Amino acid sequence: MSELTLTLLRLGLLALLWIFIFSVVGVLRTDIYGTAVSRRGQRKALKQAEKQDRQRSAPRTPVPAAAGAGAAGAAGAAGAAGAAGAPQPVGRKGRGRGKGTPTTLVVTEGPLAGTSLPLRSGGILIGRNPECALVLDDDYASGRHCRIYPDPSGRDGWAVEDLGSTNGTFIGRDRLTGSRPVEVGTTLRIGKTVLELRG
Amino acid sequence: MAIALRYAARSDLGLGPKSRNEDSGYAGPNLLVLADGMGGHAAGDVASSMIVGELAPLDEEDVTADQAIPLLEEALHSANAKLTKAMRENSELAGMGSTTIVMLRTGNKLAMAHIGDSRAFMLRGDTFSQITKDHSFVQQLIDEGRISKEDAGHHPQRSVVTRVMTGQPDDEPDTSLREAKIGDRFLMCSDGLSDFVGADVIEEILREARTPDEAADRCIEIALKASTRDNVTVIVAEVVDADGDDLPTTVPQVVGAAGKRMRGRTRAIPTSPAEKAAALSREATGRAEPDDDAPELAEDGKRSRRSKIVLRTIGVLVVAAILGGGGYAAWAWSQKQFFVAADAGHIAIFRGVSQDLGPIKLSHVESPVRRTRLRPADRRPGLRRQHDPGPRHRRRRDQGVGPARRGPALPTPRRDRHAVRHVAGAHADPDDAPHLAVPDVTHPVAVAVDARPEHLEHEAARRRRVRRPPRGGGGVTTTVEPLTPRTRRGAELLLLVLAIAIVLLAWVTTDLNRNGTVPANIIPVAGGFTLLTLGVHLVLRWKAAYADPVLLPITTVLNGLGLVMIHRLDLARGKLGTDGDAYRQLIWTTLAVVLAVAVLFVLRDHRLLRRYTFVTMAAGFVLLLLPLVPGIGRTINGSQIWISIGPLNFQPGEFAKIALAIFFAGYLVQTRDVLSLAGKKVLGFTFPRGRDLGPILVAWVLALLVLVFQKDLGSALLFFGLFVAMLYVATERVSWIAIGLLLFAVAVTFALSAFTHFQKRVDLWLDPFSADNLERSNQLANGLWGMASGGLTGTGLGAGRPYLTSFAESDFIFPALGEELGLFGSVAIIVLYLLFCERGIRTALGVRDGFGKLLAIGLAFSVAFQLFIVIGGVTRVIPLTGLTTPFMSLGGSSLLANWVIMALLLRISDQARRPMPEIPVGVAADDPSPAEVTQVVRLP
Repeated sequence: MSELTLTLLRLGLLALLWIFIFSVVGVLRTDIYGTAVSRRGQRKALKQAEKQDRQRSAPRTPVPAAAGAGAAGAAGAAGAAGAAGAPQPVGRKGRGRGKGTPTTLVVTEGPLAGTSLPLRSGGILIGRNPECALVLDDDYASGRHCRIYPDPSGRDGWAVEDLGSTNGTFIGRDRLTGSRPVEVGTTLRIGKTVLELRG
Repeated sequence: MAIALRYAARSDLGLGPKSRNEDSGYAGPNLLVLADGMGGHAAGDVASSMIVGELAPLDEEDVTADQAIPLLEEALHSANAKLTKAMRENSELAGMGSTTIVMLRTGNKLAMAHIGDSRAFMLRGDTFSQITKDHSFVQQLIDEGRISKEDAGHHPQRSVVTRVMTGQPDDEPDTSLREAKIGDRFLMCSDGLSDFVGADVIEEILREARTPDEAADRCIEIALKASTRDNVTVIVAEVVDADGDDLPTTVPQVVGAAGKRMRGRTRAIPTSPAEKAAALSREATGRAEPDDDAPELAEDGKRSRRSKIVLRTIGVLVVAAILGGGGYAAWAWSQKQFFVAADAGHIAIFRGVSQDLGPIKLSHVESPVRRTRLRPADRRPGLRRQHDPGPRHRRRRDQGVGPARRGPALPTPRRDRHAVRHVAGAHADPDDAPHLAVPDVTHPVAVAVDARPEHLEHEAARRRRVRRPPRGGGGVTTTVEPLTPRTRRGAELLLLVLAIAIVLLAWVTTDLNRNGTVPANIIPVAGGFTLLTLGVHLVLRWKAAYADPVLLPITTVLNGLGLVMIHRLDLARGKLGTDGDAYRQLIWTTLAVVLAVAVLFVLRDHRLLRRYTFVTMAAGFVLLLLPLVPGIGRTINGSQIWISIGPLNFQPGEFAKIALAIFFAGYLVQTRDVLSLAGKKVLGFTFPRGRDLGPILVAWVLALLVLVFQKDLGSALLFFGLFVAMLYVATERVSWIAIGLLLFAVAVTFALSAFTHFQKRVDLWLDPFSADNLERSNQLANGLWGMASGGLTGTGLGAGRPYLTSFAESDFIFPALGEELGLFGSVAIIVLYLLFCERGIRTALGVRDGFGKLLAIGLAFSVAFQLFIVIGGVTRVIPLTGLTTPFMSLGGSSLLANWVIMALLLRISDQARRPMPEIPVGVAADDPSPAEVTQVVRLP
């Protein structure tokens, strides 16, 4: 075989390899699947609007849990949680153990472990009834077991109130009677479920 | 217990005066949304579809449990902001709003957000309950005890809502969390159902229907029977066992304003005059509006398809013209060249260049008349060839024909068999060849190929994605639509043909370079290889029509190039025919393909693997530790990672990789909610809780065991890396990677101090060219020299010396290919692997179940990481550890395992790309008995 043929074969092979790669990429370019969200009409205007929207909402972090925990670590750093888009203003250093104001309720044990609920001014109702915000499927939980609500005594504190549950709500080892203010790090136990307040 | 949702969404215009459906519904495997739009002129559909459009992406995200509610709130916030913006921009939309109920499933937890007066119900066991509380005036009156529930249905202001998504910042939804249990049924409906049909009827339907589809159809039917005046939308979901036999589809259903097919489907025959009028007016107002302004690719349009064909033809013609023109110009140029060579014992002047292109000769004797007879006396011994052109040329020369050797000795080195010299046009110098009569050659040497590629611009224009301009500027509804990809099996076939062509060309080049002949057995072997790969293609058409179209072609190229390289090394080492490694590798390839096909046949849904989570765990660990069992364990090349049973040597670690990926996926999808719980925060990282460190420590200890007892850093690293990567993907916590790296650092420090074996590796890595190290092992140095000598375009397959490196056919196959294909070739190979892994990750993004996502990521990552360890090792990025190059290296276990990985990815991607089965349009034909109807109707 002549040198020329071999050279052409050698380069041809490389060319073919790259042609193959570009064909693969070409196939992938048109391989669109998933769920498409599109708008009918006025597409241009909407695109621009979306762009502005994105710029505006960019600083918001979608993970308040992580950011919130950050605030707890930074010794009650005020404003950190606020910047993370948490709805409750964190205006002062916490009281009691000085851990700050909670913003989320995290389930650390029980069937719902791993979930979290942001604290809302409307309060969180916990119990077995289907209309509760945290529905516990637990024989030791009452229909309306307890609730966590903004502490009427303090401006931005939270309190937990037992709603006359049969088996009780426990903070540490103490059974809760009536209502009591809570702060970051407070753990509540209801039946098999353990809840923790996080900043 | 793992759960999945079986769901159905239905929507209908209802019998009222509304000419368009203002409801939107979305039901997917992780997300159920119902939005009931209202207000303004043609604005309710805008609002509800916007909300569904904003929420729908959550379905594919596979969120962790602690983020479910925050993400829902976030998405609703931004949907609300969009409503505000839309209303500001278009005054026609002012006053629009929408109720929303959304449920997001993470594992077995259901997060729900709700605003407005649409309702959600749950049936668990015997209890049927409403799990939402209307945000309505009437509900408020009930709460305050001013009216009874019974009165509520007749209250004149029952349609007054107190809280709804209207674009105001204070539209806060209620959120709740609950556990889903197998057998639970959920139903979400707009007030088109709940205002006209009593809760007891809904309960009965939900309880008695066999499937969600049936329940949803029945609800719509009953609502129409009850002459609902409003749009009706129903979403029904049932919680089923994810490990059960009958797995639900994961393709989302979108109905109502957000659906692509917007037209409502009312089939009840209008009976009252009002209904008839409504139906007529609907027809008159053109509710059959064409639904054709959805975005589309230029490729999809009818007109553009024609222009595409035209452009493509032009492109092909331009390319053909350039190739033809260039070829002609090159030929024309060559015919203006002259050279002197021997021809049958005569010196003759040839026209052309002294090369031939395969069978085509590029030269002919120009002046047969003026041949000069060669006389022995003309030989001048003093002018013998001085230059040694290397072994290949020497061989050629030896094979060369007589006349060339007897030809006049010329002073300059020659590169071809004829060993003659070009006489280029006027430069012919008579002094160099005194015995020649030089013809009068004065043709100027001129080559001018003007090949400015105009076609590139055509190409660019063709590839530009063209969207059809939207028609009309009416309501800005959002469509949410599960895209149905084409199967692309045709594209796969074309790519496969190209892939086979590459492999055959590589093989032919190798043999031409080594032996100067085309391989004798090319037809049977090439035919077999083609049949094999085309067989897989056909099986895919049959069994997994929507599987990814590029995985098989890429695998074919990689496997084929590996085969060619092994064959090339066989040739260099004189192992021929059935003695050769290539022969064995070919048999293994066949077996691997058969195994892959078997996987595709047996495994009809990847979710079935989830059942074997713990079986695969046991299998994985056993396989990983099997080489340690005395008797069957073998130590080869210092690593005890082999077992041999009878004549078979096997590397079980390759299969452990797959088993562990399945196990990790099944395990992590269950436990990740706990594993992602935040603990302490150190140095800006939120670390997991101490008690959750168990699994990673177990994985680490196992990896250490492998490292210590099998002395195989590669497998240990691969195994541990796989776990950490999947843990990170499952929990979205970077801190796991930090912890993993920390543990890795500890292990490396320990290994460095404990094993001389390991120290040597590191030493070799740091300085492979030192005299000591070359003495010990010149493998790495040889590989590097080989790649360096390959340069940009390589020596050509068969023309380099990769056989000088030990293990060139397994661990060092990449440097071997790098030497002979050059930088261009080796980068192409890396890009092919990159594309392979990208497809795995794309599949993970596309598939809608958490297990499938994790499994696809795990498999793709294991290939990518293994490749990093191997190529990193041979290119001296990291210390060398013995792992095989997927698909290429010699070795049966590796080939089998990697083809199985590919089969699994194909299966998962088939699931990810498969479109939904058509939603049955039309209510079940059988009319319910009249008694049933009278029983359920509750007129307003």
